[in-house]
Amino acid sequence: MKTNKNHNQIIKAKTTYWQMAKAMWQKLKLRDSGLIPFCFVYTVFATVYPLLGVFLPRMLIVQIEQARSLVWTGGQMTSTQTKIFINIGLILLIYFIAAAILGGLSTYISNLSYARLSYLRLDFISDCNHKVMTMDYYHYEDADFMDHAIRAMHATQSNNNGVEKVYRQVFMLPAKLIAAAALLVFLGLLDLRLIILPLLSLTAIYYALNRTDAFIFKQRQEISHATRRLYNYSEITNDFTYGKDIRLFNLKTMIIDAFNKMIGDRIRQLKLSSGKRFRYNLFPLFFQIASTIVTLSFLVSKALAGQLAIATFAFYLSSYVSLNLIFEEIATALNDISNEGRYVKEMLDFINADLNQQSGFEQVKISDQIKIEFKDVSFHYPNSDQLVLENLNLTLHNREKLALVGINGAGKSTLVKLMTGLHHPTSGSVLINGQDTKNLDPKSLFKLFGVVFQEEKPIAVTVAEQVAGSITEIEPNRVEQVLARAGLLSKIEIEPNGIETNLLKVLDKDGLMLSGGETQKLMIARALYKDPQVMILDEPTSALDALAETEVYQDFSRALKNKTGLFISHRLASTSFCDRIVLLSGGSISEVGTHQELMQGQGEYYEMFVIQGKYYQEEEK
Amino acid sequence: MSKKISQKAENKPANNQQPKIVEEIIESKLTTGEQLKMYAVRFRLAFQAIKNQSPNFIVILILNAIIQSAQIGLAVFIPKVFIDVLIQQLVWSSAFYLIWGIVLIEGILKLAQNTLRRKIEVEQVRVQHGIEREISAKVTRLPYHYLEDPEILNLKESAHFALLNQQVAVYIITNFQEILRYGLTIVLLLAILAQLSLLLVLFLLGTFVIIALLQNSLKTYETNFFLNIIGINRKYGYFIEKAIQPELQQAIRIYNLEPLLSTRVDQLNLEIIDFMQEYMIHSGKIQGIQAIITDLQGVVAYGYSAMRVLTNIVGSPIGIGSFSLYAGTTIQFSIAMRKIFDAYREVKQCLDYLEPYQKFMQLPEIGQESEQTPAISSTKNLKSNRIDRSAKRKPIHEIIFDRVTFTYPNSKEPVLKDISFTIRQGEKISIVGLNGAGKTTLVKLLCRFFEPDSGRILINGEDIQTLDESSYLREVSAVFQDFRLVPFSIQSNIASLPDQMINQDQQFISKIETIVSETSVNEFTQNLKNGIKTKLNKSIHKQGTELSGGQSQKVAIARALYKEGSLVILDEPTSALDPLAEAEIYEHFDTLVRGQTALYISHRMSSSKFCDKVLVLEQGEIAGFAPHEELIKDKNSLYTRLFNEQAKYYEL
Repeated sequence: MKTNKNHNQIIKAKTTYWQMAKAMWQKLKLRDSGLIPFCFVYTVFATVYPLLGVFLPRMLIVQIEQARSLVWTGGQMTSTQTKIFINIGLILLIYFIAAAILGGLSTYISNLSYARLSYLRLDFISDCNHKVMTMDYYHYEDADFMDHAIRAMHATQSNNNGVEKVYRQVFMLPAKLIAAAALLVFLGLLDLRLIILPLLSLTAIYYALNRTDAFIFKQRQEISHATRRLYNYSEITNDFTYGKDIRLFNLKTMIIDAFNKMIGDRIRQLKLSSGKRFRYNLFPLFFQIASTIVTLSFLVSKALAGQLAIATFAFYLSSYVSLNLIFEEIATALNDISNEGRYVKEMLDFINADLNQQSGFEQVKISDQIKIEFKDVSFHYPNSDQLVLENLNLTLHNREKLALVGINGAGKSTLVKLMTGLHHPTSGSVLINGQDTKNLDPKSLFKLFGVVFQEEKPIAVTVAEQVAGSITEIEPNRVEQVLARAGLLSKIEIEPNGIETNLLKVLDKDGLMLSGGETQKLMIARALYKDPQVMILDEPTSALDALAETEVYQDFSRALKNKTGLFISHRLASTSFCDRIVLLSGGSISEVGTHQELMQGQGEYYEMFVIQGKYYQEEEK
Repeated sequence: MSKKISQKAENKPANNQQPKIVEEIIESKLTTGEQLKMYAVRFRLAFQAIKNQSPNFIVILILNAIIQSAQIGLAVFIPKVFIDVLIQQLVWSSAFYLIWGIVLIEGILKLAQNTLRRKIEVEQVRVQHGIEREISAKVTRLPYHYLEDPEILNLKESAHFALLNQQVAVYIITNFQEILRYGLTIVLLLAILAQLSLLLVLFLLGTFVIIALLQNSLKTYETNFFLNIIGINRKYGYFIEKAIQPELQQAIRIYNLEPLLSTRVDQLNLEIIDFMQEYMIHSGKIQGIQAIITDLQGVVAYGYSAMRVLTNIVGSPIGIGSFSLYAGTTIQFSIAMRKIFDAYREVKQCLDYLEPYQKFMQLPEIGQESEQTPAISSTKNLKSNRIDRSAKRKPIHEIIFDRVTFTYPNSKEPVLKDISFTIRQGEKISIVGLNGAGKTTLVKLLCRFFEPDSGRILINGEDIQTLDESSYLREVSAVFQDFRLVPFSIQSNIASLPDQMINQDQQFISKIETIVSETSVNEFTQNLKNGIKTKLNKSIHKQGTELSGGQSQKVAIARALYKEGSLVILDEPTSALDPLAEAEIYEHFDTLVRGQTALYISHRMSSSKFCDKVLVLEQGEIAGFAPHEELIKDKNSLYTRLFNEQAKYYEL
């Protein structure tokens, strides 16, 4: 059975760097291909700019050296002196103009590209969310899988890691590479041996960075676990609803002690990786020292031997210094690309994984009649062996209203998930007009059902959007109609914006707050708006007072009128409007019948009824 | 940081709602002096917070700054040293020693820097989490009524958001270090340049002013920018969170809400980017101009130094070595200047973000006297705490509400209006009424979580406000409808003590055992591998478990009973229990509360039957206070209506 599949098998680590590059390139082309010429222009400007700084001293010193013996002390200048002054002036002027244009513009361009690169990341976030919202539902109840999924989204977390960092580094890399190549050519033309050690230290820097980050990547599971544990303790106190219990039971010290311990754990982890970084960094340090000694010795000895003029010496020296700086940047960039790429690859593994394996492709055959059959259905949740439903057989006939009762954990909600195709049976089958739900396209199956969930809260959109479940396709008349049927229109109508009123106060301080009972009505209206063939109502367990509770029952029975329906009840007494009552216990049906039949049977249902009604019934006697 | 902060704020995938920050932090109306003073106060606060978490950290940062500026200093001297060597035509061997000397110094500096970096990396995180823990500890020390004040919630969220999502602490540290580093560097470089020419120094300082003005205009723009983007950020965070929120996943599929949520997010993506783009264009211009100014500084320095070599008119002539030195110094100087401005601007911005933290940490606390050294706690003082408490127990034998009126903070309508009643020791009182009638508020007042607007609550004849809070609360055992369990073992939750203390003492263990069987907690714990030692919350404890609503409720009841307070308060304690489990609690109610005074709030009207008296609340007023049998006689009363409403479903 697929349900038991390990999440590691579902999301396979299969994206290669090449595929990552392709995916990122496609995203770029799709969303903002204008960035490509941007990158080109940036590269040209940002390559030349640092090289100007290397050439300037050389040119100036060449001029100055010529004039060293003829310091001008005022009075008439010799023609050579004039020439030198003019030359220096010209050099500085040209340098300034070139530098101002190149430096100013490359800074400006990199700023311009900033937000646009961020947008690509936001788009990946949307991809991840899309995946979460469209994957087979059962994945969502697999904690290990979700752990994995959330980790996959790490690559979109900020502008300084993951996918955005890779984009940024790639954007700037060509400029660095070309500048470095130019410097390598200068030094290499002088003596090929001069570039060996810098290249080695480049490798060493990359190696040190990469090893440390590989270590952190390997630890990522423990790191995210440690961080999560830590934040859990912080959340306890920061969630003010814990306040009463913390004060009443004096839990303060216990929590803060635990928090401290978690910080300690995290610090120990961190010490490991920072120790690694320190040790790995000894390599590049060694190579850099060696390289500097060799280069300086070479240049100085050559200059002392008269083979290098001072200006040329200064030029090579500053070339060497610049090369080291650029190499450090290149090593960092390459490492960022490969290291952050690891996280990006994880994200792409997730986005590209087939998470709809369980779904079929058949469309539901439309018919005015509907019949839903459970045949020998057994079910257990992913990563659990405990059967929630066992060999269950049940038929819901057309236009029948069925009540589902039973104690907590009897499997009532599970049965709904199986009926709507959110889950599929471990064995046995659920048939909709004879079609096995396993073979059905979930989207087509979902269309059949309107579910009022136990305690769903509205989201901060307008009333109309909430009821229609859409932004684009809203029929205002129907929205009002269903609100009226659910008994909520009078409350909405008096709002100045009517059905365009925003719900909740999170995003709109003038938003509409609904009470528990009103929220139920809103959800009923949404189900009605959908006008489904099958209505499923899950009774709220939240503390509604007796009057509000009765009103919810009435709303439910009205909503079920002329429909096929399933009503889950937590209080036996509310099922009177149903045709049949099914008592679930221990994962299978223990009693079926009308209220009268079940009471007469004096079985489990009767017993529960009596116990629950005990204090009320005494009154009657 | 401007960029980092804004973007970080925007896009954490699982972000919580983002609180207002900037709205509160515009202090443009303050005078410069007042502003400076404010920043000084906040800086001291940040400094102190860092020092509290990691006493040596500041020293490490200073050392690091010294080393880094020494590296810059060395870098500007190297060309001069060698050019001088060449000009003076030194012998090769002395040049050779020079090279080794310089490289050695460079190596040592770098090694020292690596060592410090290793420390900084760790300490930074220690400080970050330490401050988070300080906020947590502070929350536990606030008087409860603050926790129901939306403004305090907002303040706390802002403080937390700044520290957690925007990592203000880390940025302050980083930028503080930058300021130190470049500050030292500037002093060092100015000292070098002053040797050459005061005129050049003056010129550089002049450009300093231009850059300061540019930076300032950016800062003003930035503040307005963040003010505008915060609303969009909040929306974005909200919808992103909804998309992966577990509670919504079934509805997303059944009602095909994916297009709705995705469309919203995509619209917001574009809005955010438009905003960012506008900001980046603005800051791009300013930074571009700054880059040009930097080039200008370089050109002037090169030109001037060249003049000094070529003529004695502008000053005494210098050599080519010095030419390199001064030109290089100027370039480093302008870099340092830009960086220090950036760092300064960012520190200032961070300090702005720190305002909610400052305000939050300044909130008054409960029982200030014993809470002077928070956060650092130990099991030892927890234990002594407990022993102290048990020593001075004062059982509650009478509760009098004397004309109590109460209004929630930030609300106009009173919840309780002129309430008076008396409860005596051992009485079991059921409190009933419609949603919003004030039932929970009444018991919150009794827990001293709030102070009445008028009237008095007398406990054993004394005004509740004058009692010692902790010894009074010792007497109250309560289960609230929104009770919370904590991520420790089940037994630890029941006894409100850490495992190691429970395990050391047989008394604790046997008491827990009794309670566990009385409340039938053992019915589900015996199926757990580690029994009542099983820890709660799977995401924290790998071997842990998650309890269902009903199971949690049982543990919460067990916890209240373990405490053996002389006043038991049960607020909707059975809402998540199934009918059978609920009946069980009802049946054993008398044994469970052990003859103590008990208040029972429930929408199950049947609960009134096993209580001695029923207190009926109607819109904040008492609509009856008598035994069930008497109340039910009045056929038209709210009580009778409520009772019959439910009773009709149970007619046999």
